[in-house]
Amino acid sequence: MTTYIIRRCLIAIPTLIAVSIISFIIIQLPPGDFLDQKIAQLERQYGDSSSLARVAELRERYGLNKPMWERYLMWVTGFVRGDFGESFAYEKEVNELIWDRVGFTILIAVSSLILTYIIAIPLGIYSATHQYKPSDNILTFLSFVGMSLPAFLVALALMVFAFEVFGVPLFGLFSSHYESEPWSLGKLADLLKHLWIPVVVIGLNSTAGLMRIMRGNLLDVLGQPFVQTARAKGLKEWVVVTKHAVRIAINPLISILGMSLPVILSGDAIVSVVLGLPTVGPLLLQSLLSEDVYLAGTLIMMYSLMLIAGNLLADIGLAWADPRIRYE
Amino acid sequence: MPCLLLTLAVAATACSAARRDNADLSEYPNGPEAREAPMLAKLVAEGKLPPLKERLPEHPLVAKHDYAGYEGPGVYGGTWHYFHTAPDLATWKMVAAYAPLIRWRLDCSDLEPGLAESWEFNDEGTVLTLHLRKGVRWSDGHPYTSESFAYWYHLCLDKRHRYIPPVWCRVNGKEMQVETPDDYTIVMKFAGPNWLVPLWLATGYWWCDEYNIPKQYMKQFDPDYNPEYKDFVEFEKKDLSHQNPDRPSLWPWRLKVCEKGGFRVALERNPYYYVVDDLGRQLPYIDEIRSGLESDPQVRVLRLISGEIDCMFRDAELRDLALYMRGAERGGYHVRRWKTAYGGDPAILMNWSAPDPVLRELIRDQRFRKALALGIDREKCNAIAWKGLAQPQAATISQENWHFLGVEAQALFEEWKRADAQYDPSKANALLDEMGLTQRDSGGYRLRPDGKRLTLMVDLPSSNLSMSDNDSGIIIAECWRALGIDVVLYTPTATELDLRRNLGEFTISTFPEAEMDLFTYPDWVFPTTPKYWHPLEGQWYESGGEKGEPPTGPLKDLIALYDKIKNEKDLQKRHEYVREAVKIHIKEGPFHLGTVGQRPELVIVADHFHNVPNTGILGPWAPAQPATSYPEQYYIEEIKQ
Repeated sequence: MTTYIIRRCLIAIPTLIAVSIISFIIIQLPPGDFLDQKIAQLERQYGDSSSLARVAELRERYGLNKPMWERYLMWVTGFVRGDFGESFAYEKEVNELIWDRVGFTILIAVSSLILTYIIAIPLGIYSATHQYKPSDNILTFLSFVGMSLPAFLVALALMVFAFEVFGVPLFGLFSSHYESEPWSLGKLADLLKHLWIPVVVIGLNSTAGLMRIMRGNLLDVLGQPFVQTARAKGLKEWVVVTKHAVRIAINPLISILGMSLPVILSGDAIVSVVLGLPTVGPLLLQSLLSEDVYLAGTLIMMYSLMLIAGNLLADIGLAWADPRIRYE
Repeated sequence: MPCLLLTLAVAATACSAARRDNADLSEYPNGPEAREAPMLAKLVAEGKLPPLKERLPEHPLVAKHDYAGYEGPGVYGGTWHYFHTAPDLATWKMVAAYAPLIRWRLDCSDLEPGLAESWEFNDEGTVLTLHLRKGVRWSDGHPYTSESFAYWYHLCLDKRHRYIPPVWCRVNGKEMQVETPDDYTIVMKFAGPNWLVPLWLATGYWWCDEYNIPKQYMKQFDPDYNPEYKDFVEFEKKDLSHQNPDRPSLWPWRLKVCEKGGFRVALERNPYYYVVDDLGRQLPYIDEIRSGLESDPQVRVLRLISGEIDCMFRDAELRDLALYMRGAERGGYHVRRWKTAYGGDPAILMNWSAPDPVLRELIRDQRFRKALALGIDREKCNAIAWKGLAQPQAATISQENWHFLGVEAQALFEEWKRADAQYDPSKANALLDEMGLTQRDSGGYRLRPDGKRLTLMVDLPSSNLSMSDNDSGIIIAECWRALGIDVVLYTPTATELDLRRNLGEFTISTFPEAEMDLFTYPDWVFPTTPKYWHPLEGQWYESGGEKGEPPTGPLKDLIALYDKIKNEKDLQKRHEYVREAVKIHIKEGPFHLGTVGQRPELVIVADHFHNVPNTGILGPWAPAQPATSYPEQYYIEEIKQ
């Protein structure tokens, strides 16, 4: 097992290098660079961009006049040391900008995952054991609705609903008076009060999907001979279902964990833009639009790291849950 | 969560019930007898702050309030909730980062004293002397003196960092010299007459944000003063007024918190602020500003209609007007229609030196330009792009500008606005036929003199960059196709759009046109910078004839007129030259085409928020509105519980 984990970590390195090269190139494909963007923006605002008059010097300072591979090497060697370069738009070290956001992104993603599984598994079991009964039909209907509604639309609808009913908008992760406060119990409570909206919205699609998978798997398993044996032994029905059938039917759900992480992260990006959440998504979108190379590149790397770590955890989880699996 | 929301909603209703129309100041403990904010009085009593008298200058600047919407002296206190759309706080700086030596008047009719009490030129216009207000202090209590300006200019002449001599200090290729005979006098010496400098000093927030540099603080990062630093990298970062709360400031509210490069910003009153109201009470009235970064337009709309924002300039879009009106009562705010003062929304630019030589010749033919102008259905642009809230017109600068004051001048301006601005396709067709563009191809399109199909490529911003410009472009394309001119619409990314425009690689492009002062920003009328309808001629002028294309025909006359303006002492004569240039535009033009103009710009003001002007001009940024209305005298009515 340990060797497996080490091997997986080693494979992650070339993956990350490939991701960094491709994203670095793609970010800079559009014509012009960040300073051209900045000039365009200043001219739109004031009809004047003379405050950036020394553009050639600024290009040099930001290293924008160097060839792309040189800038890439500079950034990547810094990355290893934990120095991610400077964001042009924010005029700050990338390091100072992203950690809170990475934290909130992981918090929301993990909470949505947990919520998804907590809701989807019992409902899936219930649905399977009550196949074609009215309650199953209702749940099936709801899960199809949940799967097909885009998360951002749900977020918008929730926002409009909350605004129409309560007259206050549901933005961000904190109420305005807690936003600039240091961490305290009150702030934590405030965070929890806000957190459920994005968590529910983001988790909705995966919950509905997982419920269907759980139901299907369990139905498969329930028809198998060992379940009949268990029943024949005279075990109680709930013991048959939970101890024998679910135990087997749940394994695919654990391996899906690794796959649902990208869904949740990208869902998080869209929903965060709509709900104004301080996560990685909106920052990434903005930095891509303004060709803020180092910021965008770093954020993409963060996403990749999260995905790789998530997949690894899912594999380990599967090995733990299913003793038949051996990683050699 | 729902019960929390409910509580908030109930609280909000309670607040609006307590709202009253007229504030009776005597009811408040900090009424007219208080000369300074209670929070500062407390610090003075504790001995943490010198008394008010020592903090104010000898002759404090008295905030002017000769505008409709002013209600009277305010009460101290309150928090102004705001949002900003970019980490550089640009929209906020247009409200309260305007601390220039010389200020624009609110109505843009003239200049008025700011940090300088007075200024005078010598007879030749080569020496400008500014007399500073005595006793002005930075927010750290350090005196503001001529040293600050001298230090900034000394930085400008140094080549090691981003500071460069500004465009307005160079005459005949030579930079000005700055002398400071004493703490309160700045003398600028130019190589030739430079009458326009006071206007530059007053323009926008961006010049004063540059030249007001707190030497007492910044010198610790200057390698010349502190050998710890080898370069100016740290210096440049510390000098960012919107990011560094430690940097002393001359703003009414100094930066208190700037989180993560500007996601959340708080400002608090500057205890040394040098402006007072009529009663001699120190401004600002409002204690604190809180602002968050809102990059999503829809979130901005929701923030505004929820009534969370106390007063907002520049970021409420006209297309959401109905939404704002509907939410006004519940949100406890009202919507004011300020002016954009756009004279072209957008203006259609025709590149005088278009890359294709055949099209270049066509565009330089007045009949062709007139035909394109007459072929635009402006009523349709107005109805579709602006829901009829704008007015069809030829492309002009802002009607409210100070060059066209007076009946006669206004009549001339009206003539400019109407020039070739009627929709007359038959006349347009006649003009094109008269030019000899009568041959048509199988598709019904006219052929160019070289036998190819007459095709114009129109550069357009994408609809998420500017929905209205995009709409207008599509309508114009339809109109021109009806004249037998094929139109290809090209919507590149924002950067490419700008690169093509400023490098002169476009044939037809669009840009919103608004300008209040042509002396400092002449380029809509005079081809002096590489922009708008004259990128290559502007390049030629800026580079002294080394690059670009030499101006031809009427462009030569326009440039000659601008050179006259620069050397003219008499303000009235300078205005006269502008009007002469506009006569050239009417007679020889159009050089760029109008669509619509004069649409309103929305300003959201909470009902408990007072002293905001009823109207103003937000399109062009150079006249620094709303900063010239002294937003430090806006106040929030105390809500009685």
